[in-house]
Amino acid sequence: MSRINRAAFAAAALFAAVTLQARADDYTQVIEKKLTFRGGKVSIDHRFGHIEVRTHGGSSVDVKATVRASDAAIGRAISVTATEAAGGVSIVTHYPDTEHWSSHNGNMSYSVDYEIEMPASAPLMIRNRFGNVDIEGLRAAGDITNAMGKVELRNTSGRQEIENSFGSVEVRDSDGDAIIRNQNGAVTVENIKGNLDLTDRFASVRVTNADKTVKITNSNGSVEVSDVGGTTSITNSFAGVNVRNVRGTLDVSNNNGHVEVSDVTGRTSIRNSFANVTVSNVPDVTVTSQNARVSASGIKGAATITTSFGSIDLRDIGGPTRVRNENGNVTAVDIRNSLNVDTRFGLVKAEHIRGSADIDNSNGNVTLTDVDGGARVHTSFGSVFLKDVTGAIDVDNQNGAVVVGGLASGRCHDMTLKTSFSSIKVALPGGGYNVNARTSFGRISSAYPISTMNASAESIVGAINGGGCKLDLTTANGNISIEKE
Amino acid sequence: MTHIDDLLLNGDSESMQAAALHAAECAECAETLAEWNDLSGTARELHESWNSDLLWPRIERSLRNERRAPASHWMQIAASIVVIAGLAAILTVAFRARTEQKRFDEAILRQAAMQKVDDAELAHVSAIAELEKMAEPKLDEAASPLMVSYKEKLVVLDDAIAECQANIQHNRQNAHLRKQLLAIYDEKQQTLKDVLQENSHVTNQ
Repeated sequence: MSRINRAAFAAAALFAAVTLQARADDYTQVIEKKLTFRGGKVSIDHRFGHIEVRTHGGSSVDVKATVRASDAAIGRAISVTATEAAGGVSIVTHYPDTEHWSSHNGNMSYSVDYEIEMPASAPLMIRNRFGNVDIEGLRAAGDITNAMGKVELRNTSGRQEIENSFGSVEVRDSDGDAIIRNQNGAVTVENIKGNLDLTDRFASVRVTNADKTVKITNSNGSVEVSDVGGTTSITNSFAGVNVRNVRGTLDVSNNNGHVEVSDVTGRTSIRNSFANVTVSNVPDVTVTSQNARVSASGIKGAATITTSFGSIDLRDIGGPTRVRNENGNVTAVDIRNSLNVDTRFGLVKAEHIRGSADIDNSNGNVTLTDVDGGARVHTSFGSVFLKDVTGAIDVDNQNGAVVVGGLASGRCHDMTLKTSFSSIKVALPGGGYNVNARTSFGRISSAYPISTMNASAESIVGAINGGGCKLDLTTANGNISIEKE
Repeated sequence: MTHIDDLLLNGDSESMQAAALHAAECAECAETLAEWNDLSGTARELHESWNSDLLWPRIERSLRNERRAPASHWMQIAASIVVIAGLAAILTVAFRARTEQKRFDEAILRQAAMQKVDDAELAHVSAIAELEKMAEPKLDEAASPLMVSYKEKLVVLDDAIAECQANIQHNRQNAHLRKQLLAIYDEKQQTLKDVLQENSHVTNQ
């Protein structure tokens, strides 16, 4: 047998094998219809199958429906009606009442897949269940309602309204607004030039490259947003939120899920609970959190941070910084404006403050280093350590030591240091002070000579270097020590 | 290559005579010619011939076939084109049939695939029943918002399962329906696992 003959025989055998593999009762029928779109919209009412829509510049609506059934009788009973009227083109799938096929022991099965080519400028309405929907090139409004299947839109313009349940939704390269409602299905949106309003539940949401407003409402699913050109608003719960590169204001409301935000050009507001918040490179930020750690860095303007039962860590803040915490440590480094901290049951540590520092604490130590303005500290049951404070110092403590040192020479500082049941120690670099030191059960000592005006076992009133700035030192049951820097 | 080499390679009588004249004037060429003559003598000694009645007729037939070749060659090309075109047509039809077969299988499940799907569903149902038993006390108390959310999700999943099952009764081998049901079972199983794993942070609320 020649080589050609052998090849022909093999091909024929392959053909026979493929053909014979099909079951005798497989039923496949292709129904094709051609209609003309004269206005209105193209509507498709379908179940049990996929819908693929492509567009062209003409006015025809070309419908290709592939009917597949496990039985020819059922397949033949499935029909497709496609009509054209003033209101537009309507395509409807009709399935037989399957009660009539009870003799098939419930093994009957069928589906219809559509391939539709329609005018790009025709509005489209699709109602589908149990199948995927795939649309490309639509240049008019779309109204897509699907269930139990995937929905994909690509390269569209016009307002797109998409509703789905138990299936993912993917929108890519959309020039118009998009409204997406999903349930139990992931949503992905990429390259959208219009506004986006997205609601989902129990699944993840990912938005990339949105030019205008983005509004996302989700729950029990992660939210990831990047490169947004307008106002962004995100509400979520029980899953994380991650936002990057927003050229507008940002508002995030979450609970029981971490929040990570970076590179926002507008005001940023974050509310969260029971999970950490991390924010960086934003102009102004307000974080209201509960039972969670908050970290903020690279804030160009004001930062207002509130949390409870979690630490707060602030670095490189350009504007006024206000912190409210309960039961958590506060660390603030490189604050280029005033710092105001109100906390309880936590340590406060601040360094390199280019404005004044105002700290209210209880049951926790306070340590301030390198403060350009004045320092006011109120605490109890914790020590206060102040170093290199340029302005006036006012400490009101209870049951904790007060230590002040590292003061700049050549100028005096008004100082009021008060505690009880602990000692006070202050190191002076020089300058004149009007001293008023008082302790009930302790010793008062000074490395500088004090020209006393009034002295007793419990108090000294006098002047150092001829007097000048105020130096009020008050304690009960503790020593007072004035030292040279 | 030298002049005598060219002459020896030509090998005709004139060239050989010219080679002999040239060798008379050139010692190196004379040596080359002597080696050539030795080699030729040895080759002649090695030559052997056989007498056969069939040899010439076979050679003649072979020469005749070669003379006929141009005509049959074109025929062969034409035949090849026809066969290749036929093959292409058969393969195209086979490919289309195969593609449609695949699409049909993707739309309507075969018996073997059905068996696998049935088995997978049974495994899910069994696992879900076990997990539901374990998660029931947690879901019953459902004090935290997260537990309430899980409960709500399970209700939504149960509704979807019921809807799928109702449609499967009348469209049993529809692949999309069966895959969807499997996906929802999977989601429910994962949700119940999440319920069982959930503990600490929500109790703070």
